[in-house]
Amino acid sequence: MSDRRRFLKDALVTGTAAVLAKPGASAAQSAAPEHKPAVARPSAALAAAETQTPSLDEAPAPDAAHIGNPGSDFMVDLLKVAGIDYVAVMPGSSFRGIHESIVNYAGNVHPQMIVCTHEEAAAAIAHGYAKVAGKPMACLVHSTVGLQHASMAIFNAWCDRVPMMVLAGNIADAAKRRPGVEWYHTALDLGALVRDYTKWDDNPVSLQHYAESFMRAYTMSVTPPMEPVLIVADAELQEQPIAEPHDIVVPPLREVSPPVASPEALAAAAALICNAQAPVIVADRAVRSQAAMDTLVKLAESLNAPVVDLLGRMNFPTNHYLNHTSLQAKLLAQADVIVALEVGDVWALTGNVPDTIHRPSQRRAKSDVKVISISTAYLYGKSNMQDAERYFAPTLPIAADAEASLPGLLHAVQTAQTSAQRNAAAARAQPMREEFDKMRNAAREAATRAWDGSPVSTARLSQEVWNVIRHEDWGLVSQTNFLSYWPQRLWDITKTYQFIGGQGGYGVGYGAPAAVGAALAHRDAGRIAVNIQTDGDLMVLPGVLWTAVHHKLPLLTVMHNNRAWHQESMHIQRMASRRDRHPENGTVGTVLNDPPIDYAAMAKSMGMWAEGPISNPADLGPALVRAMAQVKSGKPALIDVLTQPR
Amino acid sequence: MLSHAAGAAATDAGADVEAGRALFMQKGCYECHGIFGQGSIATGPALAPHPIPLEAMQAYVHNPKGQMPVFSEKILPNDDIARIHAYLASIPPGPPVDSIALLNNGKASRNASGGATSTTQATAGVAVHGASVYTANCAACHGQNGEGGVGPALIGISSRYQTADIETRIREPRGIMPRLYPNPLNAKDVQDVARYVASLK
Repeated sequence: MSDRRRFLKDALVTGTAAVLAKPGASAAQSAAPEHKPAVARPSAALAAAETQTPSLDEAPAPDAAHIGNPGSDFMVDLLKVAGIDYVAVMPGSSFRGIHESIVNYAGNVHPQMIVCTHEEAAAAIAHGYAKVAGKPMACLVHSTVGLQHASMAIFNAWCDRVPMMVLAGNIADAAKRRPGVEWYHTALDLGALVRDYTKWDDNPVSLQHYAESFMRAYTMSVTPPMEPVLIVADAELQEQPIAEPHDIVVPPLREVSPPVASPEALAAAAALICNAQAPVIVADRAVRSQAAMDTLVKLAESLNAPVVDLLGRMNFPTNHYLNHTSLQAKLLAQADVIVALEVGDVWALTGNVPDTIHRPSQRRAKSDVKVISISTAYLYGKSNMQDAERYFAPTLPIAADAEASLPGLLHAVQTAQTSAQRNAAAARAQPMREEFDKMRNAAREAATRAWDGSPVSTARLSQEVWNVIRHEDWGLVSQTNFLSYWPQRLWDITKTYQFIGGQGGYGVGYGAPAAVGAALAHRDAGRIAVNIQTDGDLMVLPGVLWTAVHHKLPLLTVMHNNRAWHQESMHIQRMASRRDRHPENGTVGTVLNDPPIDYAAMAKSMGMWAEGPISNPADLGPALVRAMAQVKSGKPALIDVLTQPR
Repeated sequence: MLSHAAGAAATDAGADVEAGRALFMQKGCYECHGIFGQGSIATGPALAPHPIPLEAMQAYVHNPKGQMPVFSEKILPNDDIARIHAYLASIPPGPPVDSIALLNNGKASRNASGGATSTTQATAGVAVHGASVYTANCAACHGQNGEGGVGPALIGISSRYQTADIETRIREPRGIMPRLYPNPLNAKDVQDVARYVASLK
């Protein structure tokens, strides 16, 4: 009987096996005091094996011409330990060892490769996936060239506070590099390329080092504020046999409790909120789970406070009578207390800098408004990339994860509220319902404008899409700011997964790949994904259409094809007007109409079902039904629609 | 028949509308306000239908408030603004919101015919309602006008089925036809859309 089997047999008697069999509970580093087992503690290698790293037990090759236990098998084991189901990959030789291990050692299952046509797509796919799946994907990039390609999408994910495991190949030992290409594909400090927008990175020099850094990186990535992290996977470590496998100790995967606001801070916040006559709750990247959304609903209802959803995530149901997002200018101007939950730009809740010649700072809230800000932004920051926004000192800044702190905040409010305050809050209910109804009806009325016009209005486009998905289990995987926010204004969006916010860093090219990543997570959850896709964004990384087909993703893509980088048209036109010369030239260099791009043909060329371009709104509904038939059969489909600008 | 003078005036007005539309596009007004002046919550208010008075528009364009860029008399003279105004004034209102099923979750048009109604109005309301329900729930498969598509053609169906039979088919669908009753369609929706389908000629 092997040592391992003997140990397990004995352990079953003592109960120790239950601990060992559970990933993340390796006895090797367990700090928990326990009774002394009747058997000896397992060796380090055995403990590592029980954290699902069987590569440490792989036999070496019988001859010098082969390698039986490559280091990359161990690297893949760590991905399994972390529960990473997918690795987005555009192939590159600096990680050929890991690539082969995923294919042949792991059987391309858990993790499975998601094949990409650009490293920026790989990272953006991981970005979109994480926001739906609630856990990170890995993306594997090719040293200097691949990481530079991926860097834009890593930046977006960093700005969007999204976890991601970036693994990059490299060849540290100069004596092992082949002449030529491999020198160009190696960096002395590869992590420096993205260090300004990753939470942590390391360049391990041994597999023990790799295991510890991998676990540290993963843990840091998924702990709020969540961010991408980078591990450099040295090619020699990947390709050479695992050295001294039985000496390797794999740290257990332990979840870090997120930072929660202290009871004292929450009590102070509750006192301010309960005393308010006109409280407003503003949520941005606050809600990650349905439970948190439900708690936020209870909090708002206990106060009858209107909620403004800034849509960094899906924070609050659009059909709830307290969702007053479209009324935010008026609400913020009248508020006496603002509760900001993970708001990226707290300064902008009380001030504004208009896009006028002198750009004066303007007040938009009362001078004595009290602002409570609960945010992990107080716990983390970097200086080069200026995503911190303008400095603002809230009345009550609380360094904590809003999602984790919401139950405590609700409890504090319910505890602090006097009967008079409860009555005052109750009296706000009916006016709030009336305001909500007015807001929604105004949106419906506004949607009738240009309803039958051609090009198709964005309101018509949105409602035609809503009509074919509203009886399905769906998720909108694109942002809506270029769509006049019609989905939030007209649809009933009630689940956190039904909307995932935007790019974070406002970098174009996020939309199409993030939609593919999000669709992957939705597919695994039995849902269909809907992407209302802008044309300018798709032209950055059109190859993701192929990825969607290759992996059979149920993704409905509806082009919002205004044949322009329209935001830029408005900027140039503004410049021309300000300079009093030729505003008609505002579209020079900002439109995509000469020649017009045939997105349906583009999609078809990559094997995707597609129709269009559609310019008659009456043709859109039937086309969507045909597209949905494809999507519901588990395939992607695209409809190109010529649209109004916004 | 129009008099010569009236005809000339109409021609002039038409020319102004066309010129106004061209200017609206060339000068970039459409970029923030939409090609039909429908506006956007994100970029600029609606200008049509029913634009503000011409004089007010001329004054505002030359001296705007907020973030709207200034259009000087040099690049947008009052005569051009008048043509743009003519274009905006020519844009008809959209259909009533209650007549658009897609803005009513594919269901009954609320208050489609207004409060107290005559029998004629009530009949018209039923027809509008039925058409609205049809557009939202049936047209995608059976065609905008019942000409057929994924589903069979419905034109002339009343020669083969009674309205009550059509209602039954909607309530108890066969084959690939989706079940729409009792949700999203209620009994009234089914009744009205069946009448509408029966009227397709």
